[in-house]
Amino acid sequence: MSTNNSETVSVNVVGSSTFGRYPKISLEKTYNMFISDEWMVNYAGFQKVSDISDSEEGRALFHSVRGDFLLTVQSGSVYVLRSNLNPIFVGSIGTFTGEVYIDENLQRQICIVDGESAYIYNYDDNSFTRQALTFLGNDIIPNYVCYHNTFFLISSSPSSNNPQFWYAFEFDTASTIKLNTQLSLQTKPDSALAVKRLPGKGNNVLVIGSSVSEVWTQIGGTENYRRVQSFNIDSGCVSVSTIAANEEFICFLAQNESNAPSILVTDGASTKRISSDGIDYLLQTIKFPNQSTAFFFRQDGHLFYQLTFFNPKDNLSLIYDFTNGLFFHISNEKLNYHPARQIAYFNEKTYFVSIDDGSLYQMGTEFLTYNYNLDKNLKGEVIPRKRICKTIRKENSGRFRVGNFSFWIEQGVNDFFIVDPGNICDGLLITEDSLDYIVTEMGENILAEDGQCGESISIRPRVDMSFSKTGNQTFSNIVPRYLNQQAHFRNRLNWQRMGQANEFTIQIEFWGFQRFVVQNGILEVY
Amino acid sequence: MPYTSNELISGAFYAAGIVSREFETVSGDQISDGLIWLNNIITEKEVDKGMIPYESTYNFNAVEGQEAYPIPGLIQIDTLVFYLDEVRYAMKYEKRNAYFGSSRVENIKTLPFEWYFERGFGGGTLYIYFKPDRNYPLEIHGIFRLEKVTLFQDLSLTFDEFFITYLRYALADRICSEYNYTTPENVYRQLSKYESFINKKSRVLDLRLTKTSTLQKRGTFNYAFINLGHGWTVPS
Repeated sequence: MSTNNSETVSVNVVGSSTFGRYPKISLEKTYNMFISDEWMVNYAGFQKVSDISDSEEGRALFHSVRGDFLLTVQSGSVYVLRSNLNPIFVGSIGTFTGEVYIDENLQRQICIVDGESAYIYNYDDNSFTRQALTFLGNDIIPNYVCYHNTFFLISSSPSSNNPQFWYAFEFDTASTIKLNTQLSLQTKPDSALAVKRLPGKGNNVLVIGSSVSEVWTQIGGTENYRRVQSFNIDSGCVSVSTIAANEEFICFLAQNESNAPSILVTDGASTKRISSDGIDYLLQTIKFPNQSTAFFFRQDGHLFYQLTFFNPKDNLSLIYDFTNGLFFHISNEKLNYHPARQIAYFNEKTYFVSIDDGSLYQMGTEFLTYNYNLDKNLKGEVIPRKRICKTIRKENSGRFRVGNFSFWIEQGVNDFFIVDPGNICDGLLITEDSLDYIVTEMGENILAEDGQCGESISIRPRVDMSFSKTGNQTFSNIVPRYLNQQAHFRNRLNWQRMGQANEFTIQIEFWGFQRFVVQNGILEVY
Repeated sequence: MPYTSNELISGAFYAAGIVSREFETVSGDQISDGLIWLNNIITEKEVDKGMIPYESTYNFNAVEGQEAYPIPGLIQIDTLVFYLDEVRYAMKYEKRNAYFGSSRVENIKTLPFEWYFERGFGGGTLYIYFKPDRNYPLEIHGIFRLEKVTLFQDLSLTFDEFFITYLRYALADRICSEYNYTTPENVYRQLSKYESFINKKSRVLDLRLTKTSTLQKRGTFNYAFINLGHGWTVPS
């Protein structure tokens, strides 16, 4: 049904998080969805696949390509997981919280750095050894590790005596490494916080400080590494845990002594900022940038940079889709930060360790919920998928009435079921002949001491819509539209008679244990 | 079932497309404006008396020697009678120039047999002649103005459902006008339908012919006419 004498205005139901500095400018956001072939589809869900430990924090996950296993750090314990994903304890480290960095050399050694010490796990003899790293008698406090051309390149913690130094370590014994070369950040007086291989750039590495980054080339000999004279990046990283690399470039949350944080991408020869005004502002408001994590994640042909600030005061997760060049918000089931910390691709599956618990999760768009149970038959938690569209205004700021809003949505192709809402009680007392419940004077059931009542939930999929007419300061009541059962393919949702406004922002929320495939909509105004 | 003025005003804002029924509530200011406009519509019926759906009866006593009687809220008199003992006597309507412009005796007090009604502020004034010699009970059957409504007033106690529906569409039309919008086509169509229902149809006029003989000649006042018949004749 269309509105008489109306004109149609397109509504970008398909869109990304391009919000502005203030809500009035734009509140355009997308939660837990991304754009595929100009349709909006669900971002990856996850399924718990292994209870590694009862720790409260997963700190690292590493895929040993040569050893063909996963290595994970959970709180202060290190575990190996082979193809059956059963955790095998291999050693302990001295710290219990914070991100841990891991890499592997050709001598079956895996180096683990936790910001205070380095450890070598040799998966040949299964030894796990804390390393005593020194330079000229001074202890080295390692901050980050990366393998490159036979060396473990280890950077310095800012609390080191000489934080500007970074080091190339090489194989010593089966359980130890030894210093080969000591090098120093040169372009600015800064700390060498991390060293990272430049993907696809052979002998080149990127040494990242807090306000500058330098490209170094491995030339061998006693000098070993030499700084590239013609290029450096005038930004360092806010937090080494935001450094991530894929097969083409390195990405990190960058800053320098003059500029506020922004997301920077470099291939070692050029740099590019991938922030927007709104994202930049959001990043400037981050209170605890050190409590962050980031990784690259490839899914369905899209390359995502997933960045999370998990301090409760920040509580933010973003993804940047390099395929489309767009930002999206992601979250857990309660719209808090996404729990993934580090991911690994192992046995054709993507796994991550969680910031919030000591479990291993499999992640992918084939999962339509967040399932924190090992039992795959349980549905898990509904993923909150939300879209706040672009605000609609007339050029002359005039008022208009909204007659109808509709958009395309896939329906009728998924499992669909309803549990009638109501109280389900376990442990109700019954009479001796077991025919009737014992009730109070008021007619209420009486529970046994260990009995309990729970409210079952209706999981009928639906789409909620609300709108703002106040420049995105407030939103209206939510009005739902329930989705069809299987084989009922009606594919259009609409809402009528939405009153008058001179700016109109639509918010749509998608609820259900199913996929969502959504196309743009139209608004009829008159 | 009770139907309050607030519900009517909210419904009108929904029908006008100004406020969304499902997503929003009508604000206090809008309810306040809506009440003013609703009462405007209701009181406009004093002018467009065809849109008042009900006849009413009004009783009062004449005052000896008094010709003019202000009647609050009265818009139109269809019939006027007085009572003498147990008998109802009809009274005759005179046109304005006949009532005010013709020659007549002013010092006779007897049975009032002529009347004239003139609209005024807040109602109108009824004039009767002869000036009554007693406090005769008088009974007016006619149209009285509709009372203004207040917030939270149960309209179902004073209006039938069809008239409430009409008022809702009429108010929706007024709201569109106030907000400088065109009235939605469907609202306008419904409003027109209800207007044609109500206008002179809900309160059917008595259009039966009354024959007046042009050959009849009424005699002039004389002693016997006043003192024996007390001035009353059967109205033609």
